[in-house]
Amino acid sequence: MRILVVEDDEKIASFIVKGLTQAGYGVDWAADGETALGRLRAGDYRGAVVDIMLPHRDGLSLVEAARRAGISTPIIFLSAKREVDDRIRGLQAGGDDYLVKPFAFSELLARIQALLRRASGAAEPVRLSAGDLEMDLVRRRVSCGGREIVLQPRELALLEYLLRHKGSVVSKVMLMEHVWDYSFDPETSVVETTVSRLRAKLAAGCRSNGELIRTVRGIGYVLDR
Amino acid sequence: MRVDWHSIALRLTLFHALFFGLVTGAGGVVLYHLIGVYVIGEIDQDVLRQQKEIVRILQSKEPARVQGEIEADTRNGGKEDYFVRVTDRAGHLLMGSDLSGWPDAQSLDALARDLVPGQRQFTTLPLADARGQARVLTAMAPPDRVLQVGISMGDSVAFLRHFRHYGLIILASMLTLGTVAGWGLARKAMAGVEAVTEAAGHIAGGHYAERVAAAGHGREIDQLVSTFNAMADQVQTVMQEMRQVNDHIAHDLRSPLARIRGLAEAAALDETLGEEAVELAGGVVEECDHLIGIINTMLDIAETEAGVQRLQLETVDLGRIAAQAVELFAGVADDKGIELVYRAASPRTLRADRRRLQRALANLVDNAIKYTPAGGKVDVSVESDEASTRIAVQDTGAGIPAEARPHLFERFYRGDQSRQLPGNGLGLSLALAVARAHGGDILVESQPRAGSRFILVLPLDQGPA
Repeated sequence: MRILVVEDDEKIASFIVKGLTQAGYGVDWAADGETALGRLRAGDYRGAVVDIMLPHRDGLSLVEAARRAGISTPIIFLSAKREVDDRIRGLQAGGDDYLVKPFAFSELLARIQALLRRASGAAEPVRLSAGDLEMDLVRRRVSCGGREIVLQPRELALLEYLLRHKGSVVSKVMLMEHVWDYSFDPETSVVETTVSRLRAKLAAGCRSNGELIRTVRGIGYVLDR
Repeated sequence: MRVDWHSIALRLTLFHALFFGLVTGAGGVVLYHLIGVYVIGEIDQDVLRQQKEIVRILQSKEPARVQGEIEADTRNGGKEDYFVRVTDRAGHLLMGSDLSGWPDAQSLDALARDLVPGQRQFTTLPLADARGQARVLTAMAPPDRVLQVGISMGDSVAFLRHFRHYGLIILASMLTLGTVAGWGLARKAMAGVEAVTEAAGHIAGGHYAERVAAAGHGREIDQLVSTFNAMADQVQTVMQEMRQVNDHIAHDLRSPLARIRGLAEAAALDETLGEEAVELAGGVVEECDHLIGIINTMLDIAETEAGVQRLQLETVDLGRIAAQAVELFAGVADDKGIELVYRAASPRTLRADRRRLQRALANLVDNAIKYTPAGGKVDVSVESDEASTRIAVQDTGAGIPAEARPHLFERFYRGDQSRQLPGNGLGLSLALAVARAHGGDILVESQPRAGSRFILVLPLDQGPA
């Protein structure tokens, strides 16, 4: 059960392949639309990352052809075009998600994982945890070794997002979008401020865990397993 | 009100009024003089007729009877109408009518003495009681006497006085009329120039599509207008081309940046590389993100400026957007020791692009917090009336220096105090583009050391919400 990367830009393809491999996926690479269609028909892929601008057969027509052939593999489009129209066209062609270049690999990874989870029909968890830290998603409460830690709603949402992506690095832009519902990162770092407040509260309430949320310079934050 | 003496309109008006006044005044003086001469001439004719009558009496009657004749005559004609005096060459009175009320005898004697023989002389003398003037004719009468006949100028003087009086009234009217007409003419002539000035001001403020309505100002102004509009066309073309070039550059930079960022990110996440390399790669990613932020914002501005058809319109609750922006920065403000307050007097919903409005407002609040020192206050409020809704962001920062104000909304403009702060100088440009795409604007009020107030104004009449 592998992931197919369809991208004619070798450098971009190389870091996607490398990153996905590091994340534990088996990866195949196709540099043009025709080759990619052949691979999709022949193999059983869990997911595909498809660039829209491709030689021989562009990404949109590739996905349309794959869908016509009954291939239901979850597909994420990559595109240099940022207009909303292109996004809509991509989704209409049968894509499941759309990411604009330049993108953060961590965001691509998070989106692939979300798609795969959805496709596998995994049940929505009611409880998330990391070490002694536990989050009750129904009652919206956080506790550490049985002791409750009181968090602001935004801090709670931030912690939930980190817990859901436990082990993966999440970028500031992803956090802005999913925790604050803003599609951009303000000049004053709102994310940094909230992360440090959350850290302080976790450190006070959960002494045994040490530094739970790690900063990865330039990339974002990761909550380690 | 301060008077601007350099105003062409004012100068034209004053010149016009002065010209009217001078022409009317000069005309009045000439007319007054001519009428005066004519009136005196008429009086002189009267005196002369009277004198001839007396001479006839003197020649035909016995000298002894003349006195009685004169007295009867002057009394018949009415004592006030004229007087008669007959003296010898030395000025000794020989006969005459009653002189009470007429000029005093000494003046008349002097005239009689000074008379050049064979000539006659008209003189104007004041009446004894200074009630008016008399016109006196002094002439030789046979055999060797001096005859003086005088008549009152009362009616004529009154006529001239009336003439003067009405003349002054007319002059004043003409001055007023001249001023009003001059002001009207000057305003009309300058209206075209003012229209051009206003358009030039708008263009300087970034509204490159502004033009002056072409016709109806008169040929010279119309020429100015059409030349100005042609120049504005060129400016607009150049600005558009420059922006297009910028946007193409921005777009073309995205692919190489995607590669650099991706490769650097892969390195930053590769723990086998060692701490130093990972740190370095992380730094590269950060710088890439900074550059990508600039490029994306430039493209966002270009897209937003392209107009309302590019907006994703939905029904937006402005109060919610403002509350969200305040909540977004609550932690940052708290850390900095700034009081961040939100008041909604009358929030409204409208058709708008939610993402873009969120960002425009977040930029304003972000700025306010950046420029407000610890202990200060940032106040966000929403007020609406029938026509528009206004979101005001008020801070207690250092204010905006006057020299920075015209450049605030320019792309990449960074004031002296902002250089040390994070940011790329595009936040306000984007916010303004968003406001204008929605048919609104951003107003700035600022006082040095008393803080600034940015008001995002959005019109509510954008069709059914």
